[in-house]
Amino acid sequence: MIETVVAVALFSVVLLSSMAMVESGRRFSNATMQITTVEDLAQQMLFRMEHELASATGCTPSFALPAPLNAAETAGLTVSSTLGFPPRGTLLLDRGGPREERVSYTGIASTTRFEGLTRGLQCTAPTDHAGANGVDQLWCGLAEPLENQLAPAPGEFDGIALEDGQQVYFRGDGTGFSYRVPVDPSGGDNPLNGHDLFFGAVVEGEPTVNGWVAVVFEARDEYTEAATGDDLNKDGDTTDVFEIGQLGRLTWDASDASRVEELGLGPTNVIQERCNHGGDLDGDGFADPLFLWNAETNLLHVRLFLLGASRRDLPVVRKVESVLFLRNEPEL
Amino acid sequence: MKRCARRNRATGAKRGFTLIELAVATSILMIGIVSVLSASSHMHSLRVSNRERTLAQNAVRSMAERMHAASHGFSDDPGTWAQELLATYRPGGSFGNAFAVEGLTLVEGDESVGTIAISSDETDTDRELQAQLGMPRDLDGDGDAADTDVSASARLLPVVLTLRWRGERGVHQMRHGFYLMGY
Repeated sequence: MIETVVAVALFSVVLLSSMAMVESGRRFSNATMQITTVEDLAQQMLFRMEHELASATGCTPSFALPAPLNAAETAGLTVSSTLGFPPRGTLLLDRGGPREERVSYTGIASTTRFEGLTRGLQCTAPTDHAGANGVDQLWCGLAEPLENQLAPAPGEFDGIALEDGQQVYFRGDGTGFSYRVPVDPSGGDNPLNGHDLFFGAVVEGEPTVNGWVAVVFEARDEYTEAATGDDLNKDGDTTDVFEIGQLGRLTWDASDASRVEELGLGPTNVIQERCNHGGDLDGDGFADPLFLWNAETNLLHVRLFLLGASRRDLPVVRKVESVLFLRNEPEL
Repeated sequence: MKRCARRNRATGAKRGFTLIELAVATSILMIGIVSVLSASSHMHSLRVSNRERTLAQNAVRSMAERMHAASHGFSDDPGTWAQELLATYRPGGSFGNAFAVEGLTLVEGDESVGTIAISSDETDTDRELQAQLGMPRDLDGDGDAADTDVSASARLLPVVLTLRWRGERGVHQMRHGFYLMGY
């Protein structure tokens, strides 16, 4: 009797500890599998982007405000040019100053007008903006190095990234990239235009020189550090909020606002810090814009930060990055 | 005696398991669990190794793209394009011939994870360069592949990027060969 009790107790202990070990192994395996899967997805997406962008021509969308914009205006915004801006997105007005404001738009009414404004996004406040024709206003997707890399004033740049071991001052949020690809407007496969190329995009199956493409970050969910007490971006606090989303590929016809195509790209757990798009996500002290486009060298640096779970179900962030060289000179 | 043994066998089903039976069962269970955990650990190791390889591939590709971009920015003059390129990526050059890769561990004794080798010798072979590049070949467009130094005339130069790192499963190496063109 005693030996049976001892044996059963021993067997139970072994069985329970074994089950705990197997369960721990299963969770660990699931967590690493999940991370590996999203990394693979990101990797595949970068391969596809590299394939498309190698022959593309990059774009630097910006505009001037020819007339003042008051803080209450939400119907539309008249600008010098909407060329290169995706059919919906966010604009960065008067960046670097006390009147800095992020304004989203839901459509492009013409080559000089955005419509459907939402004012004061990403922790900025609706404010009046003076109309001035030389002042460069930006699409939030854009992040580009400054010409002045030696000692820019604090208001001149939005972040410092690390490129090739060098500090690079840049402006913009870097949540998207706008470009055009070689197309044959006759519908064939010869994009040659004399010694140049026809650039545009294939919109709804039809190649057009009025076509544009943009890859943009689109938030769908959020993660708060306070929920798990985890310092996701290693900045020393647990108060940050992150947007979780996916890159979307928008293709549109600049001459016909109704022709827009959308496609989700890659993993759905790309993160950006709310109110600090393009900010530091790995705690190395340098900004991490999703896209940093250097029109001078034709280099596009893509950095994807992916949110997954560790074996203890705590969040873990993985970086997948690549540098792409666009062989054609930028048009804008 | 026979009757006693028969009675014992007849009541055997009610007396439970012996210590030996449980010990054997536990041993079998342990062997199974250890095998599962070992397989799981092996899978983890493979995943880590796969991630390292992915990091290496990204690093090699990114460096190649950067070099294409740099090459694009150099002089159009064949007389100086290759010299500018070699001056940038030679040991002690403005970039140098070595680069680090975030996430990959340096092998003891090596100076860097990544190294860049550019050849300006048309007679170098793939075997010497340790990459499949189709060498030797004409690099300066003069119709032969016999020049041992085309640094003042090349329109095309072979580049070999090599990564060596200490990974989860020992020391790994990756090599990527490509050509840079003078634009």
